[in-house]
Amino acid sequence: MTPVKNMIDKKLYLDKHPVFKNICEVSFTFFIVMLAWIIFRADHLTTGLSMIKSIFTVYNPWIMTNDALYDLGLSWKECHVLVFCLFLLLVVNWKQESGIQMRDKILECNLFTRWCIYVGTIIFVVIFGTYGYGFDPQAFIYGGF
Amino acid sequence: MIKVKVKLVIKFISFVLVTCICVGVVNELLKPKYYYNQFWPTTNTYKDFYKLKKNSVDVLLFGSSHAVSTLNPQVIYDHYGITSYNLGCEQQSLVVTYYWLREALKYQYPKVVVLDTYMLHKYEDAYVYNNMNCSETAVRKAMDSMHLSPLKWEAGKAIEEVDPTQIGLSYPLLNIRYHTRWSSLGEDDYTEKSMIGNGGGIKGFTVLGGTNPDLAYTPFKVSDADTVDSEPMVDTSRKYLDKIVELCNEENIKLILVNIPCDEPIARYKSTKEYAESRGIAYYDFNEAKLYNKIDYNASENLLSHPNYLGAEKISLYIGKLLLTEYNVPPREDNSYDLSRNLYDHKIKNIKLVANTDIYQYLEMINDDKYSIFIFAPTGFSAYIDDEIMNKLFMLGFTTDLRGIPDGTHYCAVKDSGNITERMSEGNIVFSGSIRDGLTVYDFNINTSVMYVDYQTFSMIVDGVECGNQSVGLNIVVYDNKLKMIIDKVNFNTNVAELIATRY
Repeated sequence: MTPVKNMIDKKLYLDKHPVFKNICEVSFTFFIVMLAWIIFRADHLTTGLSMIKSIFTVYNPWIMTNDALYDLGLSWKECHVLVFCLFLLLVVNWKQESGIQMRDKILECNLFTRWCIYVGTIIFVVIFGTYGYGFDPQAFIYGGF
Repeated sequence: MIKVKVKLVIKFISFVLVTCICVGVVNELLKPKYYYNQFWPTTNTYKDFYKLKKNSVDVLLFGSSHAVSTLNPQVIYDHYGITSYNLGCEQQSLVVTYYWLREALKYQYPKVVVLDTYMLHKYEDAYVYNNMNCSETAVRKAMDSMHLSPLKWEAGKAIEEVDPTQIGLSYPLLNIRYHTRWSSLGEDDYTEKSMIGNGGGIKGFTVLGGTNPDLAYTPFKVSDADTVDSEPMVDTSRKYLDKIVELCNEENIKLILVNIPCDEPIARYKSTKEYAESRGIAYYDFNEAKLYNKIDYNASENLLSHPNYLGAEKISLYIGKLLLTEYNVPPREDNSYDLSRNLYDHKIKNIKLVANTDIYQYLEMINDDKYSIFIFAPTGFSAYIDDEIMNKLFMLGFTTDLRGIPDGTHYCAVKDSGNITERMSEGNIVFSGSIRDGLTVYDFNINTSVMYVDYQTFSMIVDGVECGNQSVGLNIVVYDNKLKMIIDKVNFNTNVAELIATRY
């Protein structure tokens, strides 16, 4: 893949725009991982490939506006939590890559703020975590295998 | 060095404590609530119990929904002065009964325990997958409200043992079962303080109404049992009934078994009777003809299994007398019954209101600050509104005279704690507002600008419920401010002389 990557870098002058280049790299990696997840979760390889194919071939832009996306398993409230968590993950990741250690930053805070962060995180996991009644950890880990 | 270590230990303990308190608060919020504004107010039953004064209850009542809708502590107190409390709940498994009896004994020292026998035998085929003999929901409704203690931990483990599909740890740690409820929390989840205590429930009793004129029921005779084989109890029920009997003996509490009129097979009566006799326990089955007739029970008037409040009164009076005369339970003063009596009377009034079809009586009954009234008259309504009806509407606070108004005129009105809003027009009417300090919203919309009737709008939305229609006459919606819900939607056709009432 490296020659292809170099060619795209050159064509789009990505080396001159490191931030944009970084966004492109992260997005591409994310996209590839998502494709892998589709195959991983599908019942058969052919089903997975056909799902990937349909992403590019089926014309259905209305699903972005008719709430059909919320019928796939996540309600709009859960989607809000997902967006918030992804945003948090992105910010923390970005800060870490910039050389700012979040752990050190938290430890620099006063006791009250630190405890708020710790307890808040525990409560967040208690409420929004995936566990408990009706949850099968094996089904989650092994997926369709 | 030691100082640092001590500081660390204190910090650790404090952190664990703070975290536990926060998780506890969140768990209370996430737990489903069933207050007195529902048919089966299980949360009130158990939470109110903790609000009772210590050693203020002489009789504890247990059992399934049969017991909850029949054994009425309010009636027993009002007639005999005996203080009792109904700790029953829907499909109450004997496992739940046993653990709640143990919990109750931490706070009260009852002289008598009355136990409804319905759940001793197989409840429903749907629940034979486990030995609890009831649904998971029923177990949770009762156990979730129990205070956190080693007993609750023990109960959780026992429940898991009997029904392996359940997680025992989820009883002390409610988040394991309910953390996904965060997206469906409603008003009741945030208003526990106002719903518990302060006369919240009726000492564990629930008030039901209704009759069934077509219901034919013949109680059995004791001699009928001679010709049938007894039906064995469910193993778990039997095991825990033994434990209850043992516990009552240890605590010197007299146990009474009762069965509510419910058309059960005589084979069940026989096995319970045999059990009771073998252990010297009193057993009263109200399905037995002698007892059934003695209390003047009538299945078509009082219903079976879940009696209306009149049927419940008959059985409760009998049990009250029994407690006083046979068990020597002394009467005593308890002013907490004044609070529960308010709710009891209010619920009976609601039942009578919903059954009323006489507009004159109806308008008198709804003249009560506990109700908010919505009137929706979208087409014709004036023909048979006479002086008496109008005077009763004036008494309610409405000021618009509805007599002699031509058909095609629209009338909408709201009465909320003395505040009156009225609109009358031949054109469109659109307005909205709120009651209960903005907590409940309403919206009126009559739009007849379009000639084609199918496209005209006749809408009255109260608390998210569409209550509008195109019916002739007065549509009256009664919102109960205490129960926080619509309790009645009725159309009185005031354009015909009969003033026909139709519930919708």
